[in-house]
Formats: sequence, C-alpha cells, structure tokens
Amino acid sequence: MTILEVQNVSKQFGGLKALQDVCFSVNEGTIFGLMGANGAGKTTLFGVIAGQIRPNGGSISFAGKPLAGQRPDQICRLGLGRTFQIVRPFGNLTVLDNVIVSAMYGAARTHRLADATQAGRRALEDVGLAPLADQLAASLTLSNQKRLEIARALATGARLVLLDEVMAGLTATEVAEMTETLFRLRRERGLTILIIEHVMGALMNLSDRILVLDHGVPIAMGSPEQVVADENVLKVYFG
Amino acid sequence: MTGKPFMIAAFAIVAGLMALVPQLGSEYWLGVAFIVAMWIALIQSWSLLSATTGYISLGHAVFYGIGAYVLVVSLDWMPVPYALALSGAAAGLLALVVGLPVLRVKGPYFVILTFGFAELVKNLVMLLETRLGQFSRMIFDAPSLEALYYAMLVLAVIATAIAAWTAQSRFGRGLAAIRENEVAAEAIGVPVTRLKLFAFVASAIIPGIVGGLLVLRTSYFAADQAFDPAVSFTIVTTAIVGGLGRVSGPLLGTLFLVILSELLWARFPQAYMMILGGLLIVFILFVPQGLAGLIRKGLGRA
Amino acid sequence: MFQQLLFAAVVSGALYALVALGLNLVYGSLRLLNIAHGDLVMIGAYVAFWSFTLLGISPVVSLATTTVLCAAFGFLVYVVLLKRQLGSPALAQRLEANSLIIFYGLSVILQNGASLAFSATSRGYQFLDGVHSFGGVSATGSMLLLLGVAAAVTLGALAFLRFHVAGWSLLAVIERKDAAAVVGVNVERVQMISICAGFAIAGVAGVLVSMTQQITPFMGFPFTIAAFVVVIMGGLGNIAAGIAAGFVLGFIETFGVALTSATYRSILIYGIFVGVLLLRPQGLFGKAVQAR
Ligand SMILES: Nc1ncnc2c1ncn2[C@@H]1O[C@H](COP(=O)(O)OP(=O)(O)O)[C@@H](O)[C@H]1O
Ligand SMILES: [Mg+2]
Repeated sequence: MTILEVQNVSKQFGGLKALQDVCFSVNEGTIFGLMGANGAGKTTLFGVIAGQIRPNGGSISFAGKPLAGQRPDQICRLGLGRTFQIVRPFGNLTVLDNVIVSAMYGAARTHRLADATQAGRRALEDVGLAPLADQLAASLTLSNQKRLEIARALATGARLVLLDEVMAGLTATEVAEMTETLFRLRRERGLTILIIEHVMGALMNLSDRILVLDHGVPIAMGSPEQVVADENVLKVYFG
Repeated sequence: MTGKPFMIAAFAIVAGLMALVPQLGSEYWLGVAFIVAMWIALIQSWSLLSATTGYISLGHAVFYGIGAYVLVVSLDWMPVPYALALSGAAAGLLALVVGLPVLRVKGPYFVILTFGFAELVKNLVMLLETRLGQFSRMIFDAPSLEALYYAMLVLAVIATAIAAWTAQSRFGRGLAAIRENEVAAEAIGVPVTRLKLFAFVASAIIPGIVGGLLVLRTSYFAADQAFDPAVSFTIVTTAIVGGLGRVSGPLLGTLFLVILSELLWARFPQAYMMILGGLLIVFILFVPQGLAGLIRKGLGRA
Repeated sequence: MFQQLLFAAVVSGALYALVALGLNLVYGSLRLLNIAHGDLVMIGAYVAFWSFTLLGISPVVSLATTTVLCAAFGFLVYVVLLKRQLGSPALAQRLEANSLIIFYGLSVILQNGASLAFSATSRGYQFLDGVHSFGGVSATGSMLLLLGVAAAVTLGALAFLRFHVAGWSLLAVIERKDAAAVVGVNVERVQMISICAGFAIAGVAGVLVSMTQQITPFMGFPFTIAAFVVVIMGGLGNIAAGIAAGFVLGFIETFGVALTSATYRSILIYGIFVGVLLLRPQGLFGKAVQAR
C-alpha cells in the first residue's frame, strides 16, 4: 500500500532549479533510499515533503491526503516526522525533555506528562540515547545529536520518517549498529523510512528501492541492484 | 528542600504576608507593597512571552499604557471593576491584532520592533489627546488605596500562578521548544504561530489591568507618562536581574528593584537609572542565570 | 517654497545617511545592533556645545576632538564589553542575541549620565547663522557646513571601501566573517576599527546637529530609529544603498511634515520604522533563512 506519493514536484531558488519533475512513491513498511551528489536537491526534497519549503509545482500526498498548503506542524501531526541534516537540538533542554515535547505535540498527541515521558524514553532507547537522558542536548556529541534527531522524529509517533544523512560522521561499527536499529524499527513499529545517505554501502544494504537525483533531476529508480547497474548513474558517478 | 511543595508553601506564605500589609496601618508601607505587587504582576506577565519563547519585548509599556488610557476614558461610562476588565480586554485585543505580523519578526529585530511600536502608539495617543483638547486627565472618586492594593495583589498572585503552571505544562514545553529552535519545534508538531500569539495575548492582559489600577492610584493620566519607555526598560532589567526561566526570578528581581528604588529614585533619579543600565549589562554578560540562579547555586553548595 | 523644502530634505537626508553609515559599519562587521548609536550623536553634540560656549572653540575644531573622543569610547566598549565575548563562539552567539539589550543598557546610562551632568534643559548656540540665498533657497552657513562635512565623510567612506585594501577586508568581514578569516583578514582588528569608526562617525554627526538644532540628553533615540530605518531599507553592508535610503527618509520626513504638521514628525518616523520591519521581517540581511 502506498503511503507517500510524490508527483512532478519542482522547486526553484531564483534561477537555480533545485528539483525538476520529481516523481516517486513509497510503500508502507519499506525503506526508500535517496541518493545524489552534494547539491543534488535531496534536502530540498525533504523540506518540500515536510512542509518547510513551498514547491513551485507538483503534488504530494501522504496516507491518501494531499499535503498542499499544510504547515509543517500539521504535516507532522498527520504522522510524518523528519530529521535535519544540520542538527537542530533544543540545546538548553535535557535529552529527555527534547523527546517529551515531541510526544506531546506530534501525531501521538500524548498530553499527559507520564505517558509522554514513557513514549520519549522508548524513543531514546530505540536509538541508544537512554543513558544520556538527563544531559543537556547541547552537550551531546554530533553523532549523538543526530541520534537525538531520530529519537525526536520517532517520539512524534510518526508512521513515516525522513532521515537526512543521520549516519554522516559515524564509525563503521556505529553505521552497522544504526542499520540494525533502522531494520528493527521497521519490524517493531511498522515504520516506513525515507533516507538520504552518503554512506553508499549502508544505503544499498538498507533500501528496498532507491531514487537517484542529479542536479534536481531524477535519473534512475529501482532496487539497489538495478540502480548500481544503471548507465545514467554510472555516468554521473564514475564519468 | 527545593521541591515543589516547598516552593508552593513559600509562595503562599509570601502572598499571605503581603495580604496582611494593610493591617500595619501605614500609608507608606502600603504604597511600597502596592508597587511590589505591581512589578511582580508586570514581570511575571512579560516572562510568559519573553522568558519562555525568547521573544524579548522591549515595548510592554504599550499594554500598560493602553490599559491606563482605556480606564481613564471608560470611567465616565461604567463602574470601576468593569472599566478595569475593559482595560485588560483592550490590551489583549491590541496584542491579538498586532500579534500576527509582529511575531513574524525574529530575534533582535523583534526586540527593536516592539520598542518602535510602543513609541508609535504613544505618539498616536498623544496626538489623539491633543486633537481632543486634552493634555492630561484627572480622576476624582477613585477607590481607596487599600482596595486598589488588594486588586493588585490578586493580579500578582494570578500572574505568578500562571507562570508556575506554564513552567510544567504542555503549553510551556511548546514555548520552550520555540525558544530553542522554531523550525525544529514546528517540525515536531508544535503549532508555532498559534502558541506564540496565545502567549503574546496572555502576556498583555494583566499589564493592561495593572495600567488601569495605577491610573486609579495616581488619579492622573498623561499619555507620555502612561506609555513611558522606562516602564518597559524596568520590566526587562528586573526580569533579567531576577533570573529568566524561574518563577521565583521576578519576585527576587522585584525585591531588589524596589529596595534600590526606595533608596535612590526620589533623590537621585538619573543615578538610579544609570545603575539599572549597568546592572542590565552586567547580568546579561556575566550572570545570565540571575539572582534566582545564584541563590540556587548557593543553596546547592551549602 | 518647493526649492526650500527640497534643500531641507537634502540636509536631513545627508545627516541620516551619515548617522546610518556608522550604524551599518558596526552592525556589518560585528553583527551587533547598537541601539545606543543615537546617544553617541548626543555626546558629539554636547562636546561641540561646551567647547563652543565655555572655551569658544569652533565646532570645526570639535569635529576633530569628537572623532578622537568617540573613537576612544568605541575602543573602550570593545575592550571592556566585547573583546572576550567575541573571542569564543558560544559567548559570541549569546552576545549577538543580546546585543540589543546590552546596548540598551548603555543607552540608558549615557542618557541619564548626560542628564545628570548637564541637566535635561535643551540647549543651543549660534554659529555661522548668517543666511545665504541662492536659486530661491535660503540657507545658513551652518547648514552648508553640515552638508559639506556629511558629504565629505560619506563619500570618503565609500571611496575607502571601494579603492583601499583595508576597505576590501572590511567588506569581506561584512560579507562573510568566517571566509574572511580563512583568507587571512585579521577579523578582530577589522571589528575593533569598525566600532571605533562607527562611534566616531556618530560623534561627528552630533557636532553637525548641534550647529543647527537644540540639543538635549534624550535627543539620541530618534536618530537611532532613523538610522535603523535607513539601514533596513538599504540593506546590510550595502553602504551605497544606505546613503540613498538616508535621502529617501529625509525626503519623506521633510515633505510629510510640510504636508501635515510638525506634530506628525515622530508618528511618521516610527510608522515608517514599524512598516519597514513588518515588510522585511528577516531584517537587515534581506535573505530568508530556509530550513536545511
Ligand atoms: N534556501 C535556499 N536558497 C537558495 N538556494 C538553496 C536553498 N537551499 C538549497 N539551495 C540550493 O539548492 C541546491 C540543492 O541543495 P540541497 O537540497 O541542500 O542538496 P543536497 O541535500 O542534495 O546536498 C543546492 O545548489 C543549494 O545550494
Ligand atoms: Mg543535504
């Protein structure tokens, strides 16, 4: 069953075409990878889906509902969470308080503090941050702040999460752990994941399907095997 | 020892002691207590917007001034309690109307915009008064100081209770998320615009009523005094000296301010203002946690 | 009549452009919103006033003394309040967020200090007040001097930025502080010089104001607001556009007041200020910050 449908989405920044006629759809419970060089428009695409950036054209629907004209907080409450490539922790709040707000305001709308705390702790455990729950978010290392980004998106009670380069800067062991975590989340929570990653191996490993962007243009889509064999992709990546 | 029941008990004792001040039978102490309650009410209200969301308002005198103006005008038509309610409503309405455009402006630009906006309204009211041929207005049969004091004390208690409730509520957590990172707050589902507007309106209502009460106390209204930017300045300075983000901050700040002002204001007004300016700079740069934070640290070590 | 108004507009436009130039320098290179900027204008005005009335020193000489005094004051503020804070990124961020409130504290100190020292009485003196007429315009010598000095300083600054190496490094810091540091610009020094120059320019403007208007300890704030309007209209670091915007404000104010009455002056200035900020909520940069 399709959970996210992106049709002919375009975005221009002044004269720069950051996205051109991007189309794809994501099935519920799958992991969908997004690939492309720096500046290809991946983060912009996340912004358009999650409502921070208004597209110049095209349409997006999530769980059958069109997202056009919805604010980011409304989109989040529909069950769509995102992380930010350049992390945005609530620095002067504790790690636990970061996820509690998420649980209180996100799709889960857990108004009671006790319930929100429970949901928050679970999200922290999912990403391995539980031991740091009482630290200030600003004091975390960058890779832990990336984990916090994921935990915050999870705590909203999202059915679909958009993960933007959450593995950048992790060691090989940590990448393997994170891959395991994402598989487990899909299994246990029935989560759908849309993921941008530069760590190619991990992306191939994780994704059921992959979309490749080049200068805002979709150049290939399919299973990891199909994509690595695609001649457009080979041309762009290996000249 | 600094647990929640302890704090509630401490606040209740302070409020109870303040309620006894009229029994002293001293006009002087009643006047001082009135001023103490006034600043507590103003600063707790201001904090509801500025300490929680980080949108520092340098123009809160505008709500206080509008409240004063509405009271002095409406007193011809209705009894005092209704006029006071109208003062609060007018201030809240003003915040509601200007809130959406004003709250789109961020960071330092918001700060300076609130200042400019307050000056604009002040000049508009002054122009209006001149046009109406009024240079100042007098009030003749104002309620007794004792009655006004009790009203002010109730406002101070309500404002403090709202601050305490907000600090641990879902609403307060949403505001804190906005202060920390507005884009991220919106991405996790916080309805940023609505919450900011709500806090803005809520932070305007009590200052409106306070403005009305103060006009009743002085029995005199002149626009340039009612909208005096020194009021906004004093609110911000006292809040920062007391400590942002703690319910006890405004209380400590007010205590400090009122002592300083009783010692200096009447005889050396400029020196008093200069000291406030200096305190503002020193606390912002070197004691950002304020007196409340210092005391907490001191208690922790003891 | 029209020529006379036009001349008045040019004079006040030149003054606004000059005051805003100083603000633009400080904001551009330090990212600090100096709400006490107008109070430096006030200080310059008092230096000129006392030099003239007590010692008989010509305001022309005071231009030099104020430059030195205000630059020294800028240096003091830099060393005492800013240097250590700007050194560490975390503190610098806090400083930037709170600069307006810090400078507000400074503004209150300067205003009340002046009021304590000189009383709140408004004061003035007569200098070059002979009237010259040409082409339907009557102007006092002091107005012409004001115009000449303001033009010389502003054009001098423009030329310096365009043609001198040190000017380029200043522009580089305004544009991208981090990148400037990478290519070897001594950012700290540029910042220190900017704040001295910004303060000095405000002081010079104050000397000019004192020749043509009454002065009081609280005269500074309208200049701060006007300077903010100009800088926001012109855009940050865009010194040339700032100068143009100064004239635009001078014209709006002069003709606006002529069409209504003097009581509308503050309303006009504050109204423009609020309007400009509401229309450009992202402030001086003019670039929307997008979620990344
Ligand atoms: N807010 C913006 N304004 C102007 N250009 C932008 C903005 N955001 C991104 N861009 C440009 O759009 C292109 C795509 O950027 P981005 O989506 O961040 O790429 P990616 O995430 O694939 O590295 C880049 O050339 C970038 O410079
Ligand atoms: Mg990116």
